[in-house]
Amino acid sequence: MAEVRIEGLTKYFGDTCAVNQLNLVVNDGDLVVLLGPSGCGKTTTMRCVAGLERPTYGDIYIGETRVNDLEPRERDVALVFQSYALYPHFTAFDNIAYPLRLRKTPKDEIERRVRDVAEMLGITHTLERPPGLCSGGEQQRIALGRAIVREPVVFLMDEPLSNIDALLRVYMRAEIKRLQHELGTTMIYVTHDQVEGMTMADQIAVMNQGTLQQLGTPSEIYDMPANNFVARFVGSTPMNFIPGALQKENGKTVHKSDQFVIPVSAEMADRAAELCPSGVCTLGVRPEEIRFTMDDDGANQARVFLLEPLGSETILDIEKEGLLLKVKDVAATQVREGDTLSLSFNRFHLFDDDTGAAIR
Amino acid sequence: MTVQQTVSPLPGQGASSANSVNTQPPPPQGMWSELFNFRDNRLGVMLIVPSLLALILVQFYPIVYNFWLILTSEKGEWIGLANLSRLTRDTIFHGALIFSLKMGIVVVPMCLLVGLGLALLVHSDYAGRKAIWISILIIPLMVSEIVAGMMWKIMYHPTLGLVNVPLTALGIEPIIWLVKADTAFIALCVVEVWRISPLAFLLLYAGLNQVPRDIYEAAAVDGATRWRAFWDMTLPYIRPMFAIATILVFVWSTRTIGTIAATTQGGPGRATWNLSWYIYGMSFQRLKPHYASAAVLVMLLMTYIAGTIFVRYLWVERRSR
Repeated sequence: MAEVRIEGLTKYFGDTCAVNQLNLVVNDGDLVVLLGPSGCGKTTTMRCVAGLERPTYGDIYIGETRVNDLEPRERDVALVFQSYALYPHFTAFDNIAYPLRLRKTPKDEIERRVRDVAEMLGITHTLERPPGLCSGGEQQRIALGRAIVREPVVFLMDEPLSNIDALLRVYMRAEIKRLQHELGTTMIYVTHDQVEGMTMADQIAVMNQGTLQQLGTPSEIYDMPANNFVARFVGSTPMNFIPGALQKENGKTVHKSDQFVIPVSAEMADRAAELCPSGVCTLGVRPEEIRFTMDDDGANQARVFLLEPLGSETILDIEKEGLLLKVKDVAATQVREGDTLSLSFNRFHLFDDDTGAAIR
Repeated sequence: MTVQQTVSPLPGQGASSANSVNTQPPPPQGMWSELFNFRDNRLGVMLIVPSLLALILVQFYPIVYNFWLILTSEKGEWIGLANLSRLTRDTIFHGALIFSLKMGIVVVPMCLLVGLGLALLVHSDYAGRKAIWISILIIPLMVSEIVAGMMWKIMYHPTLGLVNVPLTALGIEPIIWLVKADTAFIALCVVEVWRISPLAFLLLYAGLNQVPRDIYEAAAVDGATRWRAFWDMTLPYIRPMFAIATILVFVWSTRTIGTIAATTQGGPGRATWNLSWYIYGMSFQRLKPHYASAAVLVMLLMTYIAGTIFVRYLWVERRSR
């Protein structure tokens, strides 16, 4: 068990800066998800922690030890690869036992620990087979077993669920979270799947273009995105963005766009006046925070042009003068395509157009 | 090994596959009837017929003809196994057989070691421009045996040869390599290693390229040193290539004839007669092709047995624990 501290981590590949001055503390026993799109530097960060890449600048600490100059084998971290990286010429048993053999663990103890781990993961029946004869889900669990069996101080997971089918993924992400809770071992989990991030993490670190965008609990990330990138990236139906500007109308501040006029609270208006003097900002609102009524005389009217039924809810695609909004309808109302609705915006965020930062 | 086992069913799985168990049709009966089903594979059969004929012509016919030669005398009379029993008493043949095996035993490991070393060097990150290295290293493969032999003969020249230059520079008496039996053996082995190790290099390099990089990273994180990873990952992975390389190097080194023709001509005395040289001399100088065919059979058997051993002990996947 140990905390992981990343201080000013910068990694260049040639002239390309993959990670830019990243600071991150992973508390002992926490599950931190590094979340971001492809090429955002999340895997590079994790490989630096594992020791497979050498940081260009910055320090990495595991516990109290600065590990920059330690070989991967000296860091006592376990890594689950996206490709699993199982040893194809070993059986599943040998795969899981390999880290123990390298540590010269006694034979009967190896036998016992491998069997225990296999039982825990439900792969006892695969132990005598080479990984090539196991299914994707089994291979994934063998890789997991190889990481768990040696009881490392830190788990590193590099998109371990991206190669298995959707159903198994839902099952396994809960399984990994449960395992991490049971073992109480610090875990850094890399993924580009924001649902995985939201469901598993104690803390999410959202990354983009090599820099940390926001660090927070899943609900903080979801409810209070620090900037428009985080807002756009998190949420399975993405946030709606309405470009416009803040204006005074009848003494009250409103966000005025080509399509809508949306009243802004006095408190928010004050903050905006301070943080974004130009007033040019984009309004972001989550699909479930848009309320609608079916009368066609209210303010902010728009037309439904497509329904996306998902069973438990329906996504309404609403269009107005070239702007597309997605609205979640959880109440199973009888909206049809072509209906005109009047919208009201319950909770929303304002993002400065120049910096992208949230105004709050 | 039981492949079909019950996996703890995941939500939504299991039920759908369970109710179709009793209704599925029986599996097809045997691979061969499928393969030789002429109606389905007409095009396939027609496509392989020409190569099959060519194979029969160039492979099976000479082998069968060779047996015919063994069983008859030079005058065309049927003599049964007399040629073979004569071989068992032929001390020159024994010498040639032993020389061939000795050569194989020395040259095969040397070639594999040199080839593996070169392959690891070229495969490492230190070697930029791998294509250039490869094309330089395989030059010996492109040189014919005779040319290689001629070249080395000049190198082994007692006073002019490059091999003796460093020796004389150190004040050591120049060695007359090709005139004494033991030095001639060493000299020939060196030529063969020079000539054949690029083949081992090429095969093992190809093998190294097939090892996925991520298993080295996994091994490093799991706690393996580079040396351990080489033993546990690299070597098992390139085993099949090792087997192929071993067989080919063995065959190449035991059947060599051009090198001997260009350097020692079998001398001094009969000290460097190998099987090929024996067979060549017996057929074309002593004009006893029927008797020589018996030696050909022995050579064939030797290669076959060696090949089988190499495949069994090197190629077969290790499944132990």
